[in-house]
Amino acid sequence: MTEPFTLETDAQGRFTLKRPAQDDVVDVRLRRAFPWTRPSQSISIRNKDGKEVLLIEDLADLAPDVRQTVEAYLSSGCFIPRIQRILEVDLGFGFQEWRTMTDRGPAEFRVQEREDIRFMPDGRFSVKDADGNLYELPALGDLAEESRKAVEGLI
Amino acid sequence: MSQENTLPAGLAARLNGDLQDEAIVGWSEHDLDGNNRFSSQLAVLTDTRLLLIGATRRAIAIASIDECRIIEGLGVDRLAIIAGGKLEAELRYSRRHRTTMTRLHRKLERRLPKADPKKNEARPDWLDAVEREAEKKELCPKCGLLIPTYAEGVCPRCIAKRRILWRLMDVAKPYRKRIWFALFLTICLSAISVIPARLNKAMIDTAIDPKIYNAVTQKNEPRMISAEDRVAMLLKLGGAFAATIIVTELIGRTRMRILAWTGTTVTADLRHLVYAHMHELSLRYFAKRRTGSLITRVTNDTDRLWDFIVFGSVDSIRNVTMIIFIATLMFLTNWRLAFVSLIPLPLLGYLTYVRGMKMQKMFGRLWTYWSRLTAVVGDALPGVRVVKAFANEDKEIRRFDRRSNEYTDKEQEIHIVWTSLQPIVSGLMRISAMIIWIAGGYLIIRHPSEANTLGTLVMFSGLNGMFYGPIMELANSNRMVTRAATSAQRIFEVLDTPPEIYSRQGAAAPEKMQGKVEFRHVSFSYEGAQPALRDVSMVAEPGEMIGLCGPSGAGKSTFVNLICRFYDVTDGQILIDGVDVRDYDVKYLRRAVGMVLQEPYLFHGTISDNIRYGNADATDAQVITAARAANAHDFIVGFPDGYDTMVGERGQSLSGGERQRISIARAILHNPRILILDEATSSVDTETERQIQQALDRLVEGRTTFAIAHRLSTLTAADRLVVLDKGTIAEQGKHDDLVNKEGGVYAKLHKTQVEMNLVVAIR
Repeated sequence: MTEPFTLETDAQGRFTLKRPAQDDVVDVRLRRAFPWTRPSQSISIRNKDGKEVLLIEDLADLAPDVRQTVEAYLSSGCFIPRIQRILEVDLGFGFQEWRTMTDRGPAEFRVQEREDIRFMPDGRFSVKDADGNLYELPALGDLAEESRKAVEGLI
Repeated sequence: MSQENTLPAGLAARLNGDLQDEAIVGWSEHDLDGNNRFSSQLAVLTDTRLLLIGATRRAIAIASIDECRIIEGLGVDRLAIIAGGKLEAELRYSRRHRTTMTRLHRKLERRLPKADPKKNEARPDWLDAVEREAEKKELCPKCGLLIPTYAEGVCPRCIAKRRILWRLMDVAKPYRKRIWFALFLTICLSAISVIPARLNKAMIDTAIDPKIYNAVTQKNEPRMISAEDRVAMLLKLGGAFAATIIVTELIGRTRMRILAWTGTTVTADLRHLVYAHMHELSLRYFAKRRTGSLITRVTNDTDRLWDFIVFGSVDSIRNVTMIIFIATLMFLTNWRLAFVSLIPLPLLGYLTYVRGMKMQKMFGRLWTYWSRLTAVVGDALPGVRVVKAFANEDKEIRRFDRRSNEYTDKEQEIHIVWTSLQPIVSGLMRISAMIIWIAGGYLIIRHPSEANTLGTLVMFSGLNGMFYGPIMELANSNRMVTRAATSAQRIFEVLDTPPEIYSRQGAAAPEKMQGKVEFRHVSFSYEGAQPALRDVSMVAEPGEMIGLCGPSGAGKSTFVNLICRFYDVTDGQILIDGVDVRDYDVKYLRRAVGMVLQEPYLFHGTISDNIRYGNADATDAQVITAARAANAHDFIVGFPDGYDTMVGERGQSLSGGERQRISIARAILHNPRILILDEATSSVDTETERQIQQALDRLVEGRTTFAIAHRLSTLTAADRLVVLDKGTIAEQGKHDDLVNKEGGVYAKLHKTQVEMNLVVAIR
């Protein structure tokens, strides 16, 4: 079970970890240990040097308000848009210019090489664009017909 | 004068007159709002305020800002502006805007009321102007928008496929005349190619089975010609046939020669251009790409262009003209049959095209599955030791089988599609051939005339067959053009990348260099991410040996990379003999700085070639002297081939210690004023260790040396140790002073190292 703790935000947007009978740790960062396969378990709370101070075993263990803070932090500091629809992939010059609709709004980007579309263990894909941004692409079976056709040949 | 013109036109409009008699110092777009949703935003820094333009508009006075900080996240970074003790604004952005936002942050930081004035002094006066120039270059001259970093100087909005192929023509310009001549020959060839069929008709209708049309009976009746005359006619026509063949071969050969020569020469020119330009590019370019991909650019992509130039473009012209000539001859002879011949062709072309596209897509996917399969094999077999150690053979076999089955399934799919489509295409071809016979036969039987003769039918049958090749090739040509355009683009991508590190005008290259190196408030980050070096300042006098140490990732390699300008600092200055390194001629600077690396890279060549890499003009005697000083001479002579031993790929394999010493000999021969030494951590036996140490001692004598040191002997011998930690200088001093310092970084490092050695010794 995860040990009890609270997270407080200060005026500058930094998070402080408070635990009973232990020193407060200022400016902690939170990271998912298994961002793709188990996003609600094993959340690491690290100090600013990158050392783990506490491991949240499961978000379900937390009190509702703490859980909300943690989830808000994670969604705020983590940005991997999920592609919902692919409108077009233009292969004009050996680069792929994607035009998509994601769960964060419309996105257009370039994918440099085939290797930048990576297979993830559960059938989803991780797409890296030329700037280094990551996008989540659902498994081909979960895409609408038109989107699937646009992207099939590239995978 | 308003400096709004430093903003691209579209963005300047968004300012909407908010500018109040201020100068624009910098700007950056950013793309995320407070909820991490895509939203187009703009931040503009003036000399007094920070303007934030997005869904809402705000202005923050610089004087009120306490601190500005970049917080990196996963896929999203935030620039936090803190004023009055609280978070005043948070600019969020994806990696797309990392570089420009980091630059904006730096500019803002410098102007904050609490900024360190000394850091600003370390900026040379000309740096602002240089930065402005560089920023201007980032805007596309055509559309005025920012060119994304990955596009390497070529605006993705403004390039067009056609333009790429025209550029290709540019490269072929010197050979223009030859190409035009080859084109002319091609057209001649197409014209001549229909002659044999026509001769066939003549042979039949005038010699073999001569007929003449009788308008009265409306029938083709046999002509009264003697057998001898017929044979004579046959032979005459046969002669013409032979002549046609000879001329065809001659023209064909000449044309092929010209095209092949031109194609090869143009490709060679391109290869040279690409390779030479690649060498002009900075390390940053190479760091971002896989070497394999670059190698294919020089080799495969240029090759593919040869294909396109020789076969693709000229052959397309040949195919089109062939079709035109055949159709013309057909129509001139018998327009009815001509129609019958031509009708199936569009359908055939379309089917071939569709089949080609489908196959291409499927083969592309098949190739992915093949790569995945070979990747698994390439992953497990080199690591077979680990597989066995964990007894995971079955797991590996299952992994392989999964991939192999995926591949096999895809292959089956392709075969099914191919075997379904192929019969349709070839069937159509045969059916249309048969249709000619039936239609032609019908016309001969029912409507005999001069045009409807057996000879005509035979001619049409032959000509019809000649259609298929060109149609197929044309239907597939789109694919080839796309592939060529792709290869061309990849090549031009290299050629369009401007060299990042270049010599300024009037760069210095003084006769003698003393070797005094100074770092003044140097900061550096690789890609606009967390800085690898933060405000580092130190001085090394000529001839001093500085030992660089610190935990891994502390910034030691970055430090030495900056001295010889493999990268340029993002803030601050590096001075050699009082002159900023950016003011030296780049090649002069690099020659003046020598390097001995951790993993010495030896090129494919003899040992003496490799030592001579430091100085190509060295005599054999000098090579031997250098090798002696590096304690390498004896083991080199010990090899059967001595200095002529081939090393590198497929050459003699050398031990770590031997490579180190050859690398040291190379550096000694190079004789640089400033030396960078990246010590190998791999252990060698004590005797070799001693030899290497002695060689190093001789090497560093009298040179300003920066040694990334691991060996105790090096650390104690250093005139001064510079201890880096997380990008800053934690401590400086001699080994004896630092090792006993209470809670010192160096003391801690040293203790851990000693403890580790003890553990090893006990075991």
